Amino acid sequence: MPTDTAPSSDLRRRPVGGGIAGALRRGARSFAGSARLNASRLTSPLYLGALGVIIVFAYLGSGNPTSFFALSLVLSSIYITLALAWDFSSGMTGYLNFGLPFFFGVGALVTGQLYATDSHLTPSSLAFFSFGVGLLGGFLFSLPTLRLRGPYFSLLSFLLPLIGADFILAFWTQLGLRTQGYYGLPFLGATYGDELVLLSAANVAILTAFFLLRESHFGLVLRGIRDDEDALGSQGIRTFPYKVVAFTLASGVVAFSGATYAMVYTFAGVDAFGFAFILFPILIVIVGGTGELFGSIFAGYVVILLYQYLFPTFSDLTLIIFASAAILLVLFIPHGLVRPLRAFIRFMRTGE
Amino acid sequence: MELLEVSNLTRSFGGNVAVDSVSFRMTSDALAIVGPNGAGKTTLLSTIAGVLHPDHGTVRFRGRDVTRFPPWRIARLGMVKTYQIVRPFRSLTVEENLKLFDKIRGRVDVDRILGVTGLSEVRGQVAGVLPFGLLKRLELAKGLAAKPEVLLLDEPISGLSRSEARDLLESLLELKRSGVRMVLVEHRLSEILPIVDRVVALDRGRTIFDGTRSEFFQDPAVRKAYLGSEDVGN
Amino acid sequence: MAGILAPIVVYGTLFGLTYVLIALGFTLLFGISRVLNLAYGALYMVTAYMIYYFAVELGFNLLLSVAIAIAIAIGVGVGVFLICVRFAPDPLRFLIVSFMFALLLQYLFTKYFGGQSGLIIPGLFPVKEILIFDVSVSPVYLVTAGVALGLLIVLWLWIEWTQYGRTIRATAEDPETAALFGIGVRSIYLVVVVVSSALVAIAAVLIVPAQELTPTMWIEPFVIAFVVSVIGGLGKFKWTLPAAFLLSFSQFIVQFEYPTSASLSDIVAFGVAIGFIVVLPQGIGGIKRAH
Repeated sequence: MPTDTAPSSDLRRRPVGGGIAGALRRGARSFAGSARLNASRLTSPLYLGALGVIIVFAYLGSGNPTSFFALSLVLSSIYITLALAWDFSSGMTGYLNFGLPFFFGVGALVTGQLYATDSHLTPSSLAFFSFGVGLLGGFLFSLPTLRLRGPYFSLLSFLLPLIGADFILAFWTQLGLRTQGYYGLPFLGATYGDELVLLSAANVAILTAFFLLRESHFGLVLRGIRDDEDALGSQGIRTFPYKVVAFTLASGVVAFSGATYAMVYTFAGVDAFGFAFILFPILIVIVGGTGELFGSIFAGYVVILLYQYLFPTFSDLTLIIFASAAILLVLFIPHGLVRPLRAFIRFMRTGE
Repeated sequence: MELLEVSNLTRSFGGNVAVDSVSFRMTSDALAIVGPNGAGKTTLLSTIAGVLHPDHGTVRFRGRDVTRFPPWRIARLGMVKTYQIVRPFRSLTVEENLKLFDKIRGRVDVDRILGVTGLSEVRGQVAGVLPFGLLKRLELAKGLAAKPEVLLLDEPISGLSRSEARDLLESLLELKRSGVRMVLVEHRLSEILPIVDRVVALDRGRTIFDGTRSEFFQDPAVRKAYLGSEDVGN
Repeated sequence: MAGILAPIVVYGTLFGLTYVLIALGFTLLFGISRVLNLAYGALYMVTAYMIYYFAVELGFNLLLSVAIAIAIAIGVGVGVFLICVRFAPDPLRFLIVSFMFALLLQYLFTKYFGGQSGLIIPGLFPVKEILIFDVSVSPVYLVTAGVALGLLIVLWLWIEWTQYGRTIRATAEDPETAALFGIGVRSIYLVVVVVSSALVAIAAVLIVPAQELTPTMWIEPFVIAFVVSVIGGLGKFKWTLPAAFLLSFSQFIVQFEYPTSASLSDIVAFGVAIGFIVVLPQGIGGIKRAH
């Protein structure tokens, strides 16, 4: 168990840059050090419910592993991963991060290039490397930008998907790498059903990690940032390292997701930088409730399955419908449906 | 060594000089900064806490120049400011509001702080729905959670009824006994003076008095500044 | 020496002036609303596509089409403003909504205009190039720059010399204080919306004939507007002109040094923006820095 740290004299000697390392240490400590507490959190009904949903869909999809349904579930899983990452970094802190399509695309391209360089690499190692690249990229981007207030940060992060694709392609060209896209990537799994199982397992891991982090002191600070960042500062909490860690983790997860996307379609190209990869995660998080990680699970399946099954009827109108719905939702129900649901449940239980 | 030393602190806003070359030292346990409305008290406190930077002058905490430090650094060193207009973390529970500061400067004894500030019964309540009186207590509790050596309290009893104020001041007195030093900005004189030892009085940004509590009421400059004002109680 | 310098100066100046045109509306709008409006770039696209629709698909007279298109763009701008007033979303929500709105337009135009490249609207001006300081320049750029300059002068005179213009500027620089003085901020907001929408629509009319229409063309004007505003300081007009020139000159210097890649101007914009945030976060004017 952590011991008392001695006050001022000890802290006065701590270097300012120790902030990020300090936050990481604290994060790791609160993550690993309170195992029993975490175990008890894992019995929370919403968490178990979300697990259940993931498992049920994985099972259903495996029943007919090459069907349209299975593919739709695979896509749902990918968007759920994105939604979780977005919810964890943006939903909890209030610092809206539009950079998702950028890291998603980076994950895909890195996978493509790595495989082109060495075709012995397995899907999991490709995904793992992409995760690492995402971590690095997210960290580098967040260092100069998270010093700004929320809206200004959001706008800068918005530049990422806007011109990020051009940026990467120019970089790629300078390095003499292929910009038309990479074909023939390995399948993530033999069938959609297999891929669904893998992605579901990944989502379970990601959900668990984000959930435990949210319930820890680290997550408390993130939520405090959303409520009142200055008040945290006045009492000794330097918020910058926390934001950087959250954003970096999210970027890593997003890049990982981009890698899996490339391997589902066995193709990695500029389409991975598309705006759909921020539009749908935002939509999912809004429907599920910002800051409510579990909501993204439920909402993810609903939204993506709905889209997939509406598409044959409406074709390109579907996207327009969803974009319009997203606008209406943001205007009318910005906090999503889970929070009102929770309040309703609380009301039914306690009458308040 | 003094705990806190303020030298020639000056801060203007546009053409208005809010704090004009204010100097004082804090040697005693509890210091009150008083003055009529607009005297510059809150600005002075904010400048000491690092929320504002002064135009001129220095702030030394335990001998160290902290004038240009960001608020979080000053708070880490042991000087913590609370807000007059309360700033709770509304979506967190009372308990979580305090747990935020766990291990920043040592472990936070949440139970003890809740007890001292009288918030034990509402520890699981979400801060956003608390009534005003409890929010003021929460503000104090948060300040304590940061384990300060010096607590800068900005109008801790403003807006409270006389009996609520009395209760909060009791808590402050207990804190004082347990070793926490305080600088209080208040304009409800009669209520807070009993718990402080020294007083610094400001009028229009300038220091007009710096001495003990008992000397305070005798001082002619103080009487001149307060004559006709209604700053005694609410 | 002169060989490299002349094109940089000529193009840098011409583009700088068009950037000012685009950025000025954005800065004005931000100053008054204090929200970042991603739909601003969408107005540029709307104008372009509407000109195409009326002039090419419906066969209307070109000038008429231009007029209608500008009117529609202003209408859309005002529509967004009204939604903003009615639902009063906080800045973050508005950010998301305006982005989604731009996306919605992108999807709509993809559906109804096919998303193909190659759509061009007829230019208003002759195509034959002219020589300036031995640099071959298309008249489009010249006229654009000329109109931009003219508009800027008119705007500057308006804001500096007329009572109403000064009120607008004061309100844009500090809306809260203006409200305290009893200024009807909302009506001024409306005027600013109309003016800035018109500015970006006119910019589209001038520039677009030199390019193809694509459903993603809302991005570039927005990026330019934003980056110039970041450099100059969001809401500070004085610095828009020098900031625009700083950007355009940087881009052309890079372009002529590394003539290989066409997408470098975006990267320069991005790099300059990030560079300013890191080194000079105040812009040359006012981005707030988090503690």
